[in-house]
Amino acid sequence: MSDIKLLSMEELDSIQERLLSFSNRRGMTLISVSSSWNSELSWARNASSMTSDRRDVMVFVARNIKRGGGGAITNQIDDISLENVMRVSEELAMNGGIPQMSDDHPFEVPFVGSAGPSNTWSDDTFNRSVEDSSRLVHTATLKARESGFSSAGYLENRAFNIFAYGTDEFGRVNPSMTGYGEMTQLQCSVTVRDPKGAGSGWAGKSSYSMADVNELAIAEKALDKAIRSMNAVRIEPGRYTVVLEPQATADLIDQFLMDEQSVGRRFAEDRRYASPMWFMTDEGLPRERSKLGTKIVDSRVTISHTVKDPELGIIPISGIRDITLIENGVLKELYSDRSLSLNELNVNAPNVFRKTYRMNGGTSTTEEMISSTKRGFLVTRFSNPNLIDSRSVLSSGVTRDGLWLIEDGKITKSVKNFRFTESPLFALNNLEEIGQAERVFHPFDMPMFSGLAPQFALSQVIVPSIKVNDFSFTSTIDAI
Amino acid sequence: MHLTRRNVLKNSAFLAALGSIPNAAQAVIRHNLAEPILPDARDPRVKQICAAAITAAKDAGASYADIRVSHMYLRKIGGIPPETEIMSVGVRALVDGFWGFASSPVWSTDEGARLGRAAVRQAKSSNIAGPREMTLAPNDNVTSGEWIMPIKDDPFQLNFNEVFDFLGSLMPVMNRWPGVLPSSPVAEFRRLDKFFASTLNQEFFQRSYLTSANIGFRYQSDGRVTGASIDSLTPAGRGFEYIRDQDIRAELRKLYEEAKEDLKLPFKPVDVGRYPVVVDRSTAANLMNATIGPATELDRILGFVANSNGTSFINDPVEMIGTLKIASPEVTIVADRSTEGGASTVKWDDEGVQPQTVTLIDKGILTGVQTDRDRAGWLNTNLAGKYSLTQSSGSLSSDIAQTPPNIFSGNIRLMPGDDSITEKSMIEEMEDGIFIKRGSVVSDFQLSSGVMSGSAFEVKKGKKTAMLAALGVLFRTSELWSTVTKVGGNASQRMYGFSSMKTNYYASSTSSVTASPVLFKEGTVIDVTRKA
Amino acid sequence: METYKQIPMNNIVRKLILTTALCGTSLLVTATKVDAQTRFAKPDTAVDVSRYKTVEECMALRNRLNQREIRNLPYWQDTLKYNQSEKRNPYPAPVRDTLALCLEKFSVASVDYGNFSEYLDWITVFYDAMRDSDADSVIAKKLSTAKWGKEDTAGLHKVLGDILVSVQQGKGLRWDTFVKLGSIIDSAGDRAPWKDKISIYNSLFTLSEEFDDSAVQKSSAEKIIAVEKTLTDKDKLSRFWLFGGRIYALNAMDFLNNREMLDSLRTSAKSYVSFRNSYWEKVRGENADKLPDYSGESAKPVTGDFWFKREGDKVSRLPQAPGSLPANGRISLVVFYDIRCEDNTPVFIGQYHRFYPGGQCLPSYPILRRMVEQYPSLQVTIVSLTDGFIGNTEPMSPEEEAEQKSNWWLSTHKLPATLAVSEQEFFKLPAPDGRRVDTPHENSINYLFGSAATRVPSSTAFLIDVDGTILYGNGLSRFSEKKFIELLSVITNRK
Repeated sequence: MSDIKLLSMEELDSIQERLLSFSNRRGMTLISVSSSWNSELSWARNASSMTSDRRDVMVFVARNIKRGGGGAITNQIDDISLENVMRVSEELAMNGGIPQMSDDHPFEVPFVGSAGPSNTWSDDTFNRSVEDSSRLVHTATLKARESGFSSAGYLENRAFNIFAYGTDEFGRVNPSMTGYGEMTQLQCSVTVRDPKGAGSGWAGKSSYSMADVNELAIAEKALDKAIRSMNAVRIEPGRYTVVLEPQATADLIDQFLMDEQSVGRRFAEDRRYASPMWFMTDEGLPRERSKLGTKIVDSRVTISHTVKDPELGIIPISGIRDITLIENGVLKELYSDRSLSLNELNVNAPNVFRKTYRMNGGTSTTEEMISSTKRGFLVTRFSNPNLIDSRSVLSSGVTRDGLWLIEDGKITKSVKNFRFTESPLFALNNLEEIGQAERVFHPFDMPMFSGLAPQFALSQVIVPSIKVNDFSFTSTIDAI
Repeated sequence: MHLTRRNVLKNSAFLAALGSIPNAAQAVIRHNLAEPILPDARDPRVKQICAAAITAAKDAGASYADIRVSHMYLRKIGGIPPETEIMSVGVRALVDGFWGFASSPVWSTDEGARLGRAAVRQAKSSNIAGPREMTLAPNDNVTSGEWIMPIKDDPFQLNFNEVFDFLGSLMPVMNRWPGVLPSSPVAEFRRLDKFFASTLNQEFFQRSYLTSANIGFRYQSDGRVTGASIDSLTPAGRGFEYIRDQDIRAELRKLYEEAKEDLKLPFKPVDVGRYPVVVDRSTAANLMNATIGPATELDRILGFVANSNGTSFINDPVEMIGTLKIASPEVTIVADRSTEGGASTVKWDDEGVQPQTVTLIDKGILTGVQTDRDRAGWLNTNLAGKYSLTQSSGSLSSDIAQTPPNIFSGNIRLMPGDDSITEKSMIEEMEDGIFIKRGSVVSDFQLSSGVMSGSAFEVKKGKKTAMLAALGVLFRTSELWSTVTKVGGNASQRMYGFSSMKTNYYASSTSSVTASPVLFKEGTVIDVTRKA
Repeated sequence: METYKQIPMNNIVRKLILTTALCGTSLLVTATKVDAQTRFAKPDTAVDVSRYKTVEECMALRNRLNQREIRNLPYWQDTLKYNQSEKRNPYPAPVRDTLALCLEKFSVASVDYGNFSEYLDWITVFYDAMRDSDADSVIAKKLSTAKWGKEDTAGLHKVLGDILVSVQQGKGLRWDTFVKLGSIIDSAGDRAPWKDKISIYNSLFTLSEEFDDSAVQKSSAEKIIAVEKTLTDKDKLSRFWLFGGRIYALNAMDFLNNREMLDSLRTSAKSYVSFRNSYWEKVRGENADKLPDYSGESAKPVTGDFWFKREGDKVSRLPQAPGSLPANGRISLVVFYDIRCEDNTPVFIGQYHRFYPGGQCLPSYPILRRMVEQYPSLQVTIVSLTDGFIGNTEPMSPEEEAEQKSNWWLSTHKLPATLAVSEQEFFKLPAPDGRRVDTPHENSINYLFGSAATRVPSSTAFLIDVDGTILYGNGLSRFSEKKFIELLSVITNRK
């Protein structure tokens, strides 16, 4: 058997065609066939702990027969399996249907459609051998070992492609649910710790392209942070000026840049999840009562995504368009689903701001921001954030892997981690300075068996470091 | 334009992107259509796949190798996707102290051999500066055979529609109750078949089940809303009997009466401070699952997932096992993957070890951790007789063969207190304190602290007097567990199922936590919405 | 349609289908086990209803099997002419027999009268399973415990109303029982609220038509009018009266004066309208209003930017409006269809928007074809507005959209009509809001008759007499079809 990592578009197409030939009832159909390859290197205690090569195929079928929906997933592509997956979908649809599938959910997934080529594929990322990756990992752990620290990390090369095909009730192709997409992703993250647990540093980056991720620089940065994080002192919690490194900025603002999966569905079940960014008809905040058009954060903040942005790498699925969510501090767009977009905005696409975005940067460097700070903290990243109140986006979480006290423009001490209770909207309103924007670690996770992975596959983020006043730290934690 | 699939493909610009696909990707993970393997993992041909993989791995230089062939059948009733079948083969090989793994969806002898070689190649790639010293803990009880989880009603043998009707029948029942908005019930079943073989000449087949359901409603009264769902249907290693044999209607009715009582209480802001706190058994289970469970996973302790999930406040097992006081003497926690109905119950773990019962905390002192052979080996080398763990506890787990196995907390149980202690008795004896039910816990990356919140009540002189808004209990893990003064008795225990994710590649597994309601003598009560 | 070619099923699948089909019909059949094929194998044991322990499980079983029966029909039931027997017929045998089997273990002793409204479900389900005597005894037992009491929300009038709904829900409606129960309200006198009385009489009135029971129809119409006579001015300002009661009364009056009403229509539209107005004025109360079915309004000419016509089998685009429509001197039907009638367009149903395959207007297409077949002189004009998009397609020009509409309605669905499509004008609220606000089109203004809506609801049809007077306007559905036909037959047969 040859060493092949992905199915080709033609092969995905032919599986889809075979699958469709097994359909023997009229009604709407959505099929997606995808293949994936993951090369994953985990290491810990300065040595490789697991190196894996994983390949998979996923076939997803949804049928809707007279308002009854059914669907099934398999990862087998022989005729018997394909026939069975079609048959079971049809039987489910006939038997009264699965409530969620009897709605439009599986059918309103916007797909590749008529969009242009994307910046989501890199041959280099796809072609790197495990031996090359392993050598990188080895080199990346050397310095940590020499310095008496312990390095743990993860390096992953991934490729994924998908072919989707949808029809309407009459078996006619539905162009907005039909198409092909492909992507690669490279992610690398490193945690370096003092073996006794007295210090910890972290760095990471992800991109579709290998060229954007320098593994050795990441390892060095993590080690440097670990060394400088040693002997942390305890400082009283309270309101402080903070300089957030780009990763911390992304960790924080992710809390309100939620996609429809995280907000829309939850909101449908529980009104407490109403978000000021989300626009729904009768049950949500009406558009005129939302914050649309008002200044919600500092006027230096613009958050947007452009489909053709070469650095973001967005699969141009048909629901995706250029969106400027916040422009000069003003909320310019609200999330809405496709029906609302059509009926109220005359736009034939859901207005969903995916978790792939760019926040505009300023000119200051992080160092300059530190030097202009009288007293405050430098934050590497936030961990375990959770949303407490979705209307104000109040969130809570902890700092992790490097927190330092800044006094009179200089980093003076390593500080024990804090728990914060703060809204990113409040933070972006209390901006003092904005640093240069850069790519951060923001890989996509591919939930298994979703069959709709491109929905999740858009997660590159480019954000600046920011300096924020009056950031609320509510308690000190012991975790290092 | 007449729309056909071909036309759409031809006309959309994505074809332009085709040029960017490298030639290597044009070929295929080819399936051997001439010889389809029927997917019972006991099929003799599955053994051939395993033999091919093990032989190939050994020939390529593996000192140890194992293979899992898994067939997972998932059925969600009332949820999506309704039906899922995933078949996987995964080979793990140890070469010069390094692990390699390769997996794919193809069940064929050729593919087995390829995966054997590929796993070795993965492992070998790590050997750059020479072998890594490591000794797998011995497995003195290598057994083969077949094990099928004992259940009464195989959800995949009975008619799908029976379950559908059973769940559908609950809607009219709840609809009759004034103020109730039922949520449509969802049940989920999993059957996981695994065939395992290793270079230790071990071969076994095991079949496990996992069943859960989400049944509940929202109750509305005077503009206030509260939600309730049955907490006795979390994932468990049982069949459909788990759902059918419970008196769900009585349970729902109880929740309905409770919801009515709760909403009659005044609603007020929390008065921050230190109070005695009683938590119901589900909150206690959540607390265990967010602290003690993962904190005693040895890979986490040793920093193997430091870069993803985090580490553990138990950071020096050599010094800490046998001495570290984590909790009050009332607290004894035991891990046991053979518990009937447990969500992680198996006969063999994912490297063929028969799990042992481990006392993690004995009367408040850390006495054990959860391990696999690799990490148990490390412990043996480093504890040097100080701590007698000669075998793996059998905690290696992976849902399907597609992902490499990892250590996951098994079924853990908080040993019950005196039979006379119940949630009710603890509330009744409370002078001025807090009661939390259906709580959740968020902990930090070292599991050393966190916040516990849920439906919170003010308790005065043994009675619930008000519902409290935005209440949280801020805690340091060991401090909180050390304030436990009462643990509910056997009758007040319940087993809860959890699923968890680990590593950067999202390995997942399920486990159970059995807990009683608990009284903490003192908890730090905060308003979670209050900023500094 | 090439994508749905029928392929021969292999034996395994044939078995699977067979097995599942059997579940509905014969419950004790155990199908042959499928050999070694477990992938997505449908369960090969038949539903074992002996394991069903509660009446609600049997109800769920009934609903599921019935859904399956409906989906198994080779057509959409709601495109067929409404058939009175639909109410009279019991469930199809597979549903009915399975339900009966499921209910075998239960008797009237199983009914828990104390458990909220549980007994109501038992009534329905006993009727569904053809266990009439059990249903009747549940009703009798409950009625025996209820007492009249105007203020009492658990009074007999309330119980009676609930029971009538349950009886009505029982498939294969027992008309005699229904009438007998309904007549209990006669003895209430002033011990029951007028609203409950009028509701019960109205359900007797409407259902009696389906059962061809003119005696009951007449007596209940009279009783509605009798209750109406007792109402005070304050009663006639109540919500119940405005949104239901007065329409019930008008329908009752229409019925009682049916012969004279149709005679007046034979004379002219004007006399028909003034005749109906003569009694509508009495019942409508202080909030004087026009007849609720638009009778008497005058039909304004329809305008359009793009015109199409289907004649015989030929569909053609017309360069301009084919004269004034609806044309003077012809009997016309003006039907409003909008985007929601297009294929696969989301429509909002409660909080969920769903795709209605074929559009929610699909059921009205065969009605239009039937009408023209029966009355070839009827001139049908479809009026539509552009939206800028259709279904899942990218935005398109008004002209393209108009052509797509013609293609859909005139060619695909062969509607024998003239189609007038107008470009919908709209403006957008200033940025960043950007919401589209439609400027009401003159066709909409002309046919909304003062209603607050901005567009005439889709599939609303107006029957227009030769003099341009609207005789009747309503959503075109299988339930309103009869009324349209009744009026059409009178005016086309005028001497």
